[in-house]
Amino acid sequence: MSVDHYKVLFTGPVGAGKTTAIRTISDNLPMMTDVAATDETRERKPSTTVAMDYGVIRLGRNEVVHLYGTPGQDRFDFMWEILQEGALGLMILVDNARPDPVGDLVRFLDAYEAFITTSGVAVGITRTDVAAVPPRQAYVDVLLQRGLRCPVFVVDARDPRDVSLLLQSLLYCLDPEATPA
Amino acid sequence: MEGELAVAVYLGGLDGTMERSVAAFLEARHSARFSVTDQAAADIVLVDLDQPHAEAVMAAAGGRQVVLGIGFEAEPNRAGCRRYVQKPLSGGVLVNALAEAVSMVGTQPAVLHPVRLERPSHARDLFTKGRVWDPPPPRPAPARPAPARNTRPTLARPAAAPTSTTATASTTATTAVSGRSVATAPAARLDRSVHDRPLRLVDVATEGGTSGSAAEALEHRLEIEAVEARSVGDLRDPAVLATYRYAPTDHLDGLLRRAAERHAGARWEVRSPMLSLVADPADDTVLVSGSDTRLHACCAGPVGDQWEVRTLRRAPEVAHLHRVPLEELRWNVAVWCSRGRLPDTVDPFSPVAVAAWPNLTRCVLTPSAMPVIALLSGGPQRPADVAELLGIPRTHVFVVLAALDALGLLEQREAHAAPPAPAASVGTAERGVLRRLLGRLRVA
Repeated sequence: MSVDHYKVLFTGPVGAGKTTAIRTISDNLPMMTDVAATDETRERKPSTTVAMDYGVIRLGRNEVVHLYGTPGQDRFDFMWEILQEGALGLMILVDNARPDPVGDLVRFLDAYEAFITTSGVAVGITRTDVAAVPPRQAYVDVLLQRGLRCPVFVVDARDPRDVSLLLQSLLYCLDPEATPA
Repeated sequence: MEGELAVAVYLGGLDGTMERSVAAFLEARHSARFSVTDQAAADIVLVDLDQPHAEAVMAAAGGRQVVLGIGFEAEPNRAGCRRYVQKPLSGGVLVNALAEAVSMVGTQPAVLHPVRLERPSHARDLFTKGRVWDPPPPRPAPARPAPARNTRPTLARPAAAPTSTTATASTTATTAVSGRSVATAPAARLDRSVHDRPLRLVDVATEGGTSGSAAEALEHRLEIEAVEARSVGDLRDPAVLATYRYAPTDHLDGLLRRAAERHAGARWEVRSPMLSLVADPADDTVLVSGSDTRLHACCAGPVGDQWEVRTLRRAPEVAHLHRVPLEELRWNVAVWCSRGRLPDTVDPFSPVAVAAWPNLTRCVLTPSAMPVIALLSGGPQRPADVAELLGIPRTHVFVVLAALDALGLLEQREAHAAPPAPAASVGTAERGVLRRLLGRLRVA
């Protein structure tokens, strides 16, 4: 019996909550490739992802949706291109408490520009409880300048509802006429 | 029977309001899994580490109890705290943290001791048997009579494995290697129900309120907003169209919009004898003097003469007010005012498009809000056609258009002037998996 495989990609800067988001909505505890942080990341969190995070949502016996999270640091960006092949869509998580979060979004939009034009993207802004600025509208403006009218939600990566809503919005962007089965 | 299986939780280390909210939430939504009890009978002790009496509650916790700490600061390794959750606390985060804490009930924190291994391969025994491989003790050689010729030795039957040592995956939660012994403790295990109806914990309990009323208020906020499903009649008939119309200028959503536009950058107040809404221009929030239930009631009909708009020179006392982002408030008020009706400022036969997505994770969700917004963000459509395109009731479209219009996110555009839609091409197979994935995620 063959199994159909699909893929959704989570990306964003280090510490934005990709690992947590995948863990939040995955069917079972996801595989993580976290190691103890040794660089500047150590000031933000004790461990970081070096290859990818992986979770899964099973749709019956014949279909599997794989959730892949990219490592956040630039030096692992060779993984980004590998992981985006064949993905349904892209979830960008941005940490609002970083020094230049809007710049982070621009960097990831540039990195995935070709993929975004042929697929869909949704943006989640995390840690707004730590840093209230920049406001959500700053991200919306950047996306509108690029002609992207995509979902931009404030999310708590630990909250299944928030992550689920962001993923649902991405799916509806891919096909607004898709009705839940 | 359900109550007997529920895990006992003590809410001793929380402030009064939070304690009532969490208790009401657990009683209303998770009574089969968790029961709120006193500290002596509790399996899990929930402690707010930011409260002054947190230390005393933690000190009084018994060794078998799992202390679940919540706090603003990231202190996951705080002494005495087996599990830690950083604020802000939401319903989903709380239930997940409690479910993880349940797996620790009856276990002790693992204490790791270095173990000397004779050979690297002996490490395997640590995981399979929980102890280092021990060479079997030398047995004295039995004095055996010499076997008789032409007889075969009988094989010893293997002893049956004792059933009491069989641990099922559902009852054994943790295996901790502690020195040379393995501590396995049966513990109740809750499956993490990430695909359940999404829950959000909101602080709605009021002084003197019963847990029942708090639970009802929570229920009100946690669910998808109920909107009547109606699609009868031809909208070109004025009499039919009138049944789907309302005038925002006569309702609270229009009043809020006027106040925000006329007094932009100032501290304005919209008030009635029932409710006061004070805008704080510093962070685009509104201080609300009443509950969502009261606000909901104010949206049920035209505002009348009891409401007034004024500017304030001084900031109000915020002790009895709660702060809501202006965008969220205007969306919610428009949803409650519309109740499935189309604003009279929106022509049902002129194409409209969505300028940008609202922040739906923090707004009241209505049925089919996301597909409507997704469709209109891809290009303009006539409001009268959207329901048929998506196969949903007309009222579910109109309530979203009303909320988008209240935020100024609805653009009237000619269809031919539309920018090209996103180039996402969806095949039949892909649509199938999107539908099934949306079904798993329990779309509203």
